[in-house]
Amino acid sequence: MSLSPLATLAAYHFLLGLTATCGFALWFNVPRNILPRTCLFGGGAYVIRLVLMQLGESPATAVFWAALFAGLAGYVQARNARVPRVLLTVPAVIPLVPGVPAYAAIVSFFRGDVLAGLESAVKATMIIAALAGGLTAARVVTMTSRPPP
Amino acid sequence: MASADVDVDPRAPEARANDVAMLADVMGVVLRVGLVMVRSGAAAFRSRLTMARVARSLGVNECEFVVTPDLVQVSLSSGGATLARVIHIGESGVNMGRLAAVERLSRELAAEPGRANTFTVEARLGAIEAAPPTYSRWLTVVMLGAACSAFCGAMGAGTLQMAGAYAGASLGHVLRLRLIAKHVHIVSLVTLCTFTSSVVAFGVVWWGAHLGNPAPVAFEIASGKAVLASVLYLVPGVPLVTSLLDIIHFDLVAGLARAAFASLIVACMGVGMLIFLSVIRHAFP
Repeated sequence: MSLSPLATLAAYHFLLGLTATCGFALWFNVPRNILPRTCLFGGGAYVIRLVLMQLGESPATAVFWAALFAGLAGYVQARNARVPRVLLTVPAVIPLVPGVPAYAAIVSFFRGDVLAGLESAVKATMIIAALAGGLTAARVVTMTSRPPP
Repeated sequence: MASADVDVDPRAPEARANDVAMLADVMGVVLRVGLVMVRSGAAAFRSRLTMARVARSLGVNECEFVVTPDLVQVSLSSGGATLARVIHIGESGVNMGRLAAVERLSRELAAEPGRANTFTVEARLGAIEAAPPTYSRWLTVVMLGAACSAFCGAMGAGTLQMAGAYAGASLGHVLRLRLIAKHVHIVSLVTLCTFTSSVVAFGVVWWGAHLGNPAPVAFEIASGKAVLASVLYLVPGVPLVTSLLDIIHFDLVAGLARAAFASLIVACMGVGMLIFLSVIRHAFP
């Protein structure tokens, strides 16, 4: 894919990720001063996932890096704003949750296609594990034995 | 006897009674802090840290906490007296504004230890709990619908399917707000909302497709992107992430309990979907 269509697609997905994150952030009652940053991180993470997948990475790998980005960016901003990191990271990673393979697994099982259902379920599990891995890596990298003030 | 003398608190009984009374006052405040934090969706380690800050700022340095999604256990000691209490959490949800406000309060108290008393802290906690949500309910309905529509667009769906996802998620969220207000059990709530959102999303796409060319295949629509995206507002993102946080902080009981709760919600979504697909298959053979 040439750069221009990829850039257009990335901009479109940035808007979609930003909107999705904003919706969840409002429902979670994220404070107004934190909201713009949370939405930007959600859009950014979504674009990272898209670009890596367009470059040939597997969905799980792409989600790992996107979640790592959300975790690290959330850490930096949470320290600046002196708020819990979860305010910035949780709404930002919700768009990365693998809805499509999870639903495909349910539909396949319902149709009696157990093999296809298991395949989709394994894909969904791997993506969830990658999401968890990215967030955990960001937290472990930034963790110290000294408790926060 | 000398050994017996060592065990006896040499202070006057009045002093010990004052210790117990002071601990009881602080205990009330600390338990309330824990209750607000856990009910707002805080991870166990963060709830513990916040409670410890408040307890120390009120003059109690010896404190231990056990926090799970179901209960908070606190043990406070001062002088020769120790007080322990357990409180059950009951219904909980996610309120990050409240979580941030309590954490900010605890930091302010920790910055000036000894200046606050239990009355002022109780008053500030009361103000935090009484504060209305930052955003109106209808704004959350509009934006959660937009969020699910965005998910649908990201899957490569067209305008009609995005509209279906929007309608399904918005109406499903309205139903969720009603059911939460009526204290409906979480299992029934998630299953009902999943079914309702799926039906609405299906209806919009089915109706829209009929305006076009040939008769659409019902099951293809039912298992399509609009229906899938319309239920994503129910995904238990906060329990999933906080369960990870708990586990990497070695709060294994709290982490596993939250993971089990998140799995229960996902399973309920699956049940709602299966009921919906079954209804569609029989309604459109």
